[in-house]
Amino acid sequence: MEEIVEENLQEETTKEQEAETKKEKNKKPKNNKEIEALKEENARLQEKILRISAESQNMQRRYTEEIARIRKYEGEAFAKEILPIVDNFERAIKLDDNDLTDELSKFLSGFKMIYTNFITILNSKEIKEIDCKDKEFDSNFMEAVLTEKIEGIEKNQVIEVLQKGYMYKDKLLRPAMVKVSE
Amino acid sequence: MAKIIGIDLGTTNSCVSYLEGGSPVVIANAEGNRTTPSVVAFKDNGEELVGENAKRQAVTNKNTISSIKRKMGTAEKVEVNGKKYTPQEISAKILGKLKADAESFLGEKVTKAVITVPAYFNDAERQATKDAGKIAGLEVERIVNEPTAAALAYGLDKQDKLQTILVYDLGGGTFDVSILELGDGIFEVKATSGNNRLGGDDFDNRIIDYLVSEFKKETGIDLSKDTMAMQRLKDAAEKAKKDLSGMASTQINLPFISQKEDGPVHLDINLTKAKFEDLCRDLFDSTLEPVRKALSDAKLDKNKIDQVILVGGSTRIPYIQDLVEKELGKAPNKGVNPDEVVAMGAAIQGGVLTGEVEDLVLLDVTPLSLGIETLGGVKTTLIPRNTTIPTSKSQVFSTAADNQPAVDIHVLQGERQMAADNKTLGNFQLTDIPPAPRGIPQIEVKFDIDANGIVNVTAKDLGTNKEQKITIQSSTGLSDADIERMVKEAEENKEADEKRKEEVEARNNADSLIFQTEKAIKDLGDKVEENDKKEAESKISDLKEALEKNDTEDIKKKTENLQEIAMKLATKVYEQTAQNNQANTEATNDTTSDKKDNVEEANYEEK
Repeated sequence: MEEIVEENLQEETTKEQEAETKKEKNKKPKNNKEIEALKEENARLQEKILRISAESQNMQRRYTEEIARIRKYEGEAFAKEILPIVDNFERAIKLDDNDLTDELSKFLSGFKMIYTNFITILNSKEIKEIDCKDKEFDSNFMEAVLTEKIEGIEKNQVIEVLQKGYMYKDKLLRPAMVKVSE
Repeated sequence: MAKIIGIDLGTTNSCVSYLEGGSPVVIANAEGNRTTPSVVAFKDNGEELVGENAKRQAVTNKNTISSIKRKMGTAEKVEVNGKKYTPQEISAKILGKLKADAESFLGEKVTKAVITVPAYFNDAERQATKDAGKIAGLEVERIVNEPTAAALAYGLDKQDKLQTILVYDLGGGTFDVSILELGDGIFEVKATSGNNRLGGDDFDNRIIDYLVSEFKKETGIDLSKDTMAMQRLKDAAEKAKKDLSGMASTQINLPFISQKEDGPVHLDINLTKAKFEDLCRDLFDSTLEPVRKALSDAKLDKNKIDQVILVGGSTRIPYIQDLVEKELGKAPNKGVNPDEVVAMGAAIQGGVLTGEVEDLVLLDVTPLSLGIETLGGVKTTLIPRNTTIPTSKSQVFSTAADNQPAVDIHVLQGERQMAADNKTLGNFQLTDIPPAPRGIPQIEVKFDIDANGIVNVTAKDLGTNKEQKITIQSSTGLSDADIERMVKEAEENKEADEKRKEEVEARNNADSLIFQTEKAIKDLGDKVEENDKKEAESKISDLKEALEKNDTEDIKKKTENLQEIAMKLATKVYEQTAQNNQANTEATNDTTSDKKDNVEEANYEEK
């Protein structure tokens, strides 16, 4: 083992000598043509370095922005998957006939409480229902699935919300599915 | 330098990408999605909508235009509110949105683009696409064939030899097969075929039909008349299709889908992958005809195809992948998102035009992980595979035995967990480690890979600063096939390897616990209670027995058994050390106070 170390040392000394001879060579004056070529090469490399640094700064900025955006909307995918459960809760609750004496109603009143808790949590996470009942149809937040002509109702009004839409912070999480007047 | 964006202007969806640091990056639209529906709408109030927004209001507005790509190059015009629009004007509106989204993402003006078109597009259709770009305020630097863009995204142009590529593109609404010949960086289209009315929606519809008929069988209720129920079925079918690309079966459950006199009815149907394939088999298999036609048009035998590329979301379906592989006898290229691959290729073409690609320093990656062998024949990875080089990484290790004079550094390459299953790159020893208990010496092992892939491994005793190193000239020497095989083997043996590693770890833990406990007993000497000592000794011998029998579960159990008494002893050792330290501290305090006195004295004297 020690022998190897010595060998390494020897090798290093020869390398050092070589480096010194190289240095001496470098000191020799060069002709103008060579200097020009080197200057040009230098300028080209400078330019390239600047371009690469600019690109990397731009990338840095974009990534910072992208990460900020991802952080802001981090719950989005999860929220989207939760929505069908909210819909199903509502479908269950809708069955209630408001006659509080029967078994089903008693059961459903418990269900309603769970649902209210659920909605409170969603609201606290900035997941909020889009209000579209009786509003003018707006494709920024709603998706029209049906149209119907109804006397006395102006064109392009929401006449029924088939599935609620939700916002997540300032972003559309799911458009409301609506029926629109013709 | 201004960026050239790459645009996949599709029939149903479009996608835009640009080159960043030499790699294509897809730009999300203002709504946050990576593809934009190719839909344009004109509202009565003169407002124009493009993308998701336009799609959402389609049923309320007859002036909603989709699939305009099918009309490109024709003289057919779309009349809206008394004004006539050419197909290129409509396409320009889609391009305009993609441009605006790209500008807001990049934070700079975009004026140049590469746009893709199907390989079968004729001159008029290509010209119309170019004009659409111009109308949108884009200089179209190049029109590229979609299959060519896909091949660029897979880097197939970087290979030196002449090769024949088949691109199988099954998108949302169209199916295209193209055969390309690539040599000297020039792509030539040899043949194209396809079916412009087949796509992902057809498979969804088969699932919906099945659910409707099953539900009718079970309950007698026909859901096809109920718009809302159909909407829910559509969403569920699409989700089920996606699920079945990764699972053998999926549960479709839609509570309260309908009403009967006696209350609500729920849909709850299990859909297996096999059933889904049964439902769509004829559609899937129908794609083979165009593949065969393209081959015969190109006068090529299927074994002359060098590369197969899958494009379009529907090629995620495992049946399709198997079908193509079986038909052509060649595993298709995968890995790039099939919805985005064409736009990415267009961005790369843009980079070639600006010179960005050529200027690029092509940095290599390590094809396989590098590491060393540690206690019990386990491989410890220092540099994981696919790390961009040059890079370096160091980690501190220690000895496994008391007074160990040397450590062996066994440099390994590969993905397997046990050292012996990997390739040995080199071996060396770091010697003259001063005598010390196990675990005390600090040996720093450093891997350094330069840009040429030359690996330097250095081991250094941080106590003495003595170091030893090895240089491995070529870390690969492996063909792509070797690398692929090694990675595959690692995947196949993952479970078995993990089990073996667990075994070794259990042994190592047991071993070190025995060592510590024995040491504690020795250090405590007569201070340890006889009962504790006996208990510890008997548990140690139990564990040693288990180690001899090599039963991992038993070793783990016995290790746990020993743990309790070992803790008790360790606490004692700790208390004792603390006591000793306190005694020492007190002693130190004494000296300090002495000094203090002296100082004070000195001060006093000065006064």
